Amino acid sequence: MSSLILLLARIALSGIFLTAAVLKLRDLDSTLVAIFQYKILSWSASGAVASFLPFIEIAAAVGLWIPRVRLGAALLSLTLVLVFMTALGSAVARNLDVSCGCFGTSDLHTTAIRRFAEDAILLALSAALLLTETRRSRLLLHSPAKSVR
Amino acid sequence: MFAPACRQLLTLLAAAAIPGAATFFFDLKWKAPAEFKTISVRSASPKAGEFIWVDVRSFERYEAAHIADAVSFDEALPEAGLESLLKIWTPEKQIIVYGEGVGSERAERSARWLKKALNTPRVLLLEGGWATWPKD
Repeated sequence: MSSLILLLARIALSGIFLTAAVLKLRDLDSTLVAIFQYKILSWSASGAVASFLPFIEIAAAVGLWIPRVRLGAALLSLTLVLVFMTALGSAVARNLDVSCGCFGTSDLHTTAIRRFAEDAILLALSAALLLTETRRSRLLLHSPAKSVR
Repeated sequence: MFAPACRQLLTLLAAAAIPGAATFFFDLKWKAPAEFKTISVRSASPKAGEFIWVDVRSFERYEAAHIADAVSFDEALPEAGLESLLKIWTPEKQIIVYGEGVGSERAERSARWLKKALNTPRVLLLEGGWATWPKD
């Protein structure tokens, strides 16, 4: 896979995670409500997730640029996207109105489909990075001089 | 290859846990869930006239149909909605906020805003929102 594509994937993923984290941190109350609205977690558990999630996203975004933890960051971003997709899927299955616009059920499904499509792109990017990092780590393990890079 | 990936992942999670814990303990922990009490359509509809209804859907949707005597409230222009509300509101009156459907985030945000602005605990959310309200 071309290194330019991987670089763009890294820029896109870290940019999206950083933006998401900043937006969540700017309005933690709304983040808390948004998580609670999925009706998967209790109020206090939603509070814990709302507090930790932005920093986990920042860790993933920053980690993608640190060679020592790049593999873990790729795995973390893949896990995050999978968690988001599962939560969204469960909300749609239970017909919950979790879209910010709240323009009815039809809009919910349109929004959900779009969000699924966006998440699918993020999932593909994370998987590509994880695959590349796994290969790179394997090569390093088998090379005579085990440097980090 | 799995072990190094997990080790790195745990390192990242540990790094995120420190500011996360600080946020949880100092910012969110004190907030109570009481403001999210809901009322079902079955309980609310027989005595609908006793409540003040706040419709947080778009103005077009409100104009098309709404619960009788409901006040339209646009969260982007809350002061305008508050002005209309203050004409009919008295502290002992129960306000019921409703959005488009189940678990409307807009309804939650507006309810929270109203509760703060009016300094009253008497704000409820309509369970299921407009979607579950009997139309005829």
